[in-house]
Amino acid sequence: MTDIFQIGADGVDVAAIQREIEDRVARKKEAGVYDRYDLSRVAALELSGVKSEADFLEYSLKVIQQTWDIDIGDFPIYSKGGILGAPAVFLKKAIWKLLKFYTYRLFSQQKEFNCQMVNAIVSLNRKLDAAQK
Amino acid sequence: MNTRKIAFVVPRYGVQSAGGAEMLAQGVAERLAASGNEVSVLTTCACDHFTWANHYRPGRETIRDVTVHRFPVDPRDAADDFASIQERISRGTAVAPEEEERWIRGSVHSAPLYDFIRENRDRFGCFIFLPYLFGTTWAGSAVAPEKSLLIPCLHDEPYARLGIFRGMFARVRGILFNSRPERELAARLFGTEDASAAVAGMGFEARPRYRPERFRRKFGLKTHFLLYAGRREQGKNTPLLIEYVRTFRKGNPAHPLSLVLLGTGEVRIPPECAGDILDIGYIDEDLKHDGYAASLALCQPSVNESLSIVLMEAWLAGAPGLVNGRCAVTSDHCTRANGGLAFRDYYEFEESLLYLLGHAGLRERLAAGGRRYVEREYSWNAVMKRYDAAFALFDI
Repeated sequence: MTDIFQIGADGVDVAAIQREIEDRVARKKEAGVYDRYDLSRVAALELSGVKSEADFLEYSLKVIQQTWDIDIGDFPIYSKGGILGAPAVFLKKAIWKLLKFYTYRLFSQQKEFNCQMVNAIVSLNRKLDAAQK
Repeated sequence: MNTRKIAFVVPRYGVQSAGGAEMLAQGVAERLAASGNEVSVLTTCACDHFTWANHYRPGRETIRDVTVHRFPVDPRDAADDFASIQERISRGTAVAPEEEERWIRGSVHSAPLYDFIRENRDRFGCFIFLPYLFGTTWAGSAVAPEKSLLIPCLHDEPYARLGIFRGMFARVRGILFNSRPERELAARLFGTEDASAAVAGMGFEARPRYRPERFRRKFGLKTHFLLYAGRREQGKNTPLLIEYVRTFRKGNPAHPLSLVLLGTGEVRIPPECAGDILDIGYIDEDLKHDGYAASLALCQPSVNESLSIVLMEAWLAGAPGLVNGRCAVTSDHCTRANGGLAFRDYYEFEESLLYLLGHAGLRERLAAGGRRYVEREYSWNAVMKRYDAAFALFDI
């Protein structure tokens, strides 16, 4: 195939910037900077763009590796406004804090289960890939 | 340049809310006509690509030196299971060949248009069909395949994997792609050979002036903003972009950033983002180009692109691109041009934005790389030379 386009215009080096951005993301992931993010809506939308069974598996594997570590504290409570808005938020937050005492054990067990499940699925997928090759 | 008799076949032509393929057809047809070729357009009377209702009168008219023939759309011949087949195809599930055929027969067709091609096949040097996904292209290119060229505007989508299209790509005389990655995709999907393929695209010109302040003033924009321009729909990943911006705003309160949405189609903006996401809708071309110039970057989250007109326009206006890294076409443009950044997930989206915001002058340098790329590869001069070379390659 003849390449009719020139490669690499002068000016900035986008490929180098992209590598730097990837490194920054990796460092932030390691440092737990993104742990406070709720990306469930993002994940659902990204999933809807997946086109084939192979893409679906690849995407799902990536997502479960990113999301197995559920965060008990990640529960945004918003005010719907009005005169009762602020007291309602205060009350809901108080109830949530009280419930946390009882639900903590359940969450930690779920996290342990998620972790083992993700390891098992990823490992099975690797074995399947190796067998297919 | 030899004078040629060329007919473009496109389902809609000369409509205000035209898609990329229609804009490409119009731009190239007018340029070919201006350079001395005899150019016709064979199209339907439809204006709305959802209903395909006959809107224009059938007949002939001349629009900027291009003779436009309009033919009525056939009554829809949709099979009872059309919707179910479409649903399965769009999910990527394999369907039987007879189901594929029933599905494409339910697309937009015009028997009088096909008759015109049959009766006038000797009058024209070639018929150029676009885009690949419509009934008029599939059935029309079968009438005189030895004279048919295809501008597929191909994306990597489940429809592209249908057997009916493999047949169509194999039977036509030549295929004109908009970009290298699109051509590589066709080679992977259909085994398209070099002898029947060329990259041509469409051309772009910078506007005489851009007035970014006018855009900012008109819409009361005081902070940096990302601009989205185009059809607002799930297939273009507009909801994903809205969600990305919502998450960015929540996670980065020190970096005020807005999202401005241009174009047609419904958008649902979460109530908590009402102040950060501005839905402007359809605006005139001058204002749109001012919007590019005023933006921090043009964000193109879609993975379904064969060229991305808005990215080229934004580069000419002085804005860099921020594109979806899962789209081979737009990320290839950005790398080759050194004109923009690509994100593959939310984390990279956020980090790209922080990088842009944190490096003074980077926006301008990226945009300058993009502009040079458009001027070199997608100026009308460069594109018309490629069309000429392609016609020579296909012996037309």
